[in-house]
Order: sequence, then structure tokens, then C-alpha cells
Amino acid sequence: MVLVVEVVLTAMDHLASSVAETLRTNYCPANKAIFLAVLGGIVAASCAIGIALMGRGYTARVAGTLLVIFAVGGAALDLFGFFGCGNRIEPGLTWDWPW
Amino acid sequence: MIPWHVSAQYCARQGATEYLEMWALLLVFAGGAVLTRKASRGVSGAFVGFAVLTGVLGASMFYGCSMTAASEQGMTTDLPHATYTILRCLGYDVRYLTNSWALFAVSCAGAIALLIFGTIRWKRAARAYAFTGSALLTVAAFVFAFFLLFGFSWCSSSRLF
Repeated sequence: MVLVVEVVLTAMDHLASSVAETLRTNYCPANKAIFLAVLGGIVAASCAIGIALMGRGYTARVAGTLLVIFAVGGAALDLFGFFGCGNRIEPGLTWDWPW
Repeated sequence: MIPWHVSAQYCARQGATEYLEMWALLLVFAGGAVLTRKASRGVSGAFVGFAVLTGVLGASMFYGCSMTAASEQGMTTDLPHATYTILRCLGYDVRYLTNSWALFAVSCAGAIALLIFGTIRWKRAARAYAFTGSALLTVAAFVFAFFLLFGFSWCSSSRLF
């Protein structure tokens, strides 16, 4: 009985490891450096445009503030997903752009 | 068991486009609420309502995906069948839900805006165009709401499992 339980638990551990590995390899960037550079560029450009808009009228100030919030929030979401990637990627399920 | 954050990070990557779309939509509605606050409290309130609903739907989709991602890959789940079905339907086809919701919300907002425009404009032709456009957008909103609810109901009916 103990042996059966151990076999089942071992199988479950293997399954959990396999699934975790799948989740860490799907939809990951093929090249992490390029991905981070593109993401950083987009965030920097969005923040620059947003800050430039803030110096104008009321409507432009609201739009600029929202653009900065969008860029920061979007980058946070992308980085959250990005840091969940393991050391290898699943071919055919790559994620090469921040969007 | 798979740690929750592993599934959540997988979902953030898998549905990045859709979650960014929902984030943008939420901010556009929030901006609309701020900009129309002084002009019309009712319109501003409607924008706030759409922003809140967008946030709730986006968060629900993310939660649904993260709670069912591991079991979609073959792991067992402790969730009751009904709960699992709802969560899976929220998190499985986020593109369909996002696009349906975006089209519905934008149609509603456009219909409201044109209705107000038609009310405050005194030229007959402009009013006619505004009211006609508002009516058409209202019909479109009903169509998109139908697709949104039909898709979710179809998935929830367990026909696909």
C-alpha cells in the first residue's frame, strides 16, 4: 500500500514538474535582450509623449497622464509575464513583442 | 501543485495583447469620466461605470485563466465543476471576450455621446444625423452584447467539454 502511494505521489510530482515546465516555456521571447529593448523603447517613447502633453491644455494634460499610466501599467504586466519564463522556449509559441 | 504565480505569469504572456487592450479601454473610459465631469455628471458616471466593468471583466479573465491554466495542461483541479467551467470560460478565449466587450462598450459610449450631441445641437440636420447614428450604435451595441453573452453561455453550457 505504501509503495502504491509512493508511486502515485512520484507520478504526480513528475506531472507537476512537467506542467510547470510547460507553463514556463510557452509564449516566451525568442531573444530576451531584444524583447526588453523593444519594451523599454516603447515605454520610454510613450512616457516622453505623455510628459510632453502634460505641459499643454487640460485635455492634453489628462491624455498625457493617461498615456504615462498606460505605459507604466502595460510594462508592469509585460515584465510580470516575462519574468515567469524559464531558460528555454517552446518553438512555435514565442512572444517577440510586448503586445 | 503548481504555484499560482507560475500560471499567472503564463496567462500574462498568453493574453498580453488582450489585457493591454482592456487596460487601454479602462483608461480611455477613466479619461472620458474626468473630461466630462463638469459638463455632465450623468455622462461622467456612465464612463466611470464602463471603466469599472472593464476592470472587473479584465481581472476576472486573468483570474479565470490563472486558476485553470495548470489543469488545461493536464493537472488535476480541486475546483467544483461549475466553478471550474465558469473560470475556464472567462480565461480560455480572452480575445473573443475582450473584442466583444470593447465593441459593446465603445458602441454604448458612442450612442450616448451622439444622443447628447443631438440634444444640444439645434440645427435640424445635425440633430437628425446624431439621433440616427445613436440609434444605429444602440442596435450595434445589442448585437455585440448578444455575441458576448452567447459566447460565454455556449462555453458555460459544457457543450465543448
